[in-house]
Amino acid sequence: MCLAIPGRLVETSREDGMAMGKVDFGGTRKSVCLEHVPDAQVGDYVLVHVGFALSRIDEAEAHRVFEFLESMKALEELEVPSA
Amino acid sequence: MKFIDEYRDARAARGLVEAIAKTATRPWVIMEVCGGQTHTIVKYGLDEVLPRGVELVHGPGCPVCVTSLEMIDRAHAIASRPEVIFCSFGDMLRVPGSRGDLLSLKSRGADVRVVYSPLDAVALAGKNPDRPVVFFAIGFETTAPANAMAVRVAHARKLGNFSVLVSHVLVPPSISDT
Repeated sequence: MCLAIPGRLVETSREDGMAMGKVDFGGTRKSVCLEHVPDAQVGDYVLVHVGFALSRIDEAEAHRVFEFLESMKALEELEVPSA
Repeated sequence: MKFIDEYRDARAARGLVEAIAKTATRPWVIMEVCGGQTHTIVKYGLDEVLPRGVELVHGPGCPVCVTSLEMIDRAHAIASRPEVIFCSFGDMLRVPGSRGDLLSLKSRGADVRVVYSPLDAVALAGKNPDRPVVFFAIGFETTAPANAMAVRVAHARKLGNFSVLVSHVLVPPSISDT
């Protein structure tokens, strides 16, 4: 839970009055809350912590972080079966 | 094992230390927040090889490391109740309390579930209206808004069976005490 992970926003929606979206983390897609990043558009890269996008980030930076996390096998926590 | 050789490359390590020495043109004090980082720094002697101007200060530990025994015991007691669905971030399951950890409790039949997001716990409460769903809300400042949002959403959805066991930690007091 300590890590924030970059991913690409692929879909936006509203659920229970909340801005939500689907974020792709190198093939794994998770439902993510977008309330903290009201300007985020589909295609943007966002930094996600415990299911919440905290900020938008530059695509090149996202790729750098992503490659590092992949090499550390740090993306496994995303594989938790969704409730 | 993968990465062992890569991380024990003395030449690369010396190169990095030199690069740090060139970059650190004035004294730096850096705090590592997580206990896992402190452990690694001390185990591999990284503090010994850094240039003199770079000082490492050991920080508060991550929310998982610093959760009190009492709080783990509370979580354990709640999760032991047969009617409860207890949800937690995966890292918390192995932290030992005085009566064991949550993972062992799960293996003995308790309904302990790992969630990635606090909102997953709210979704569980929606799907199981006849059972109390308790989320172990731990974290630093960065996680507090997410946990608070889970409470807000549960309230908006009128989910009376959702509750949280709150154990939040602030970073600044830990820094000022150091």
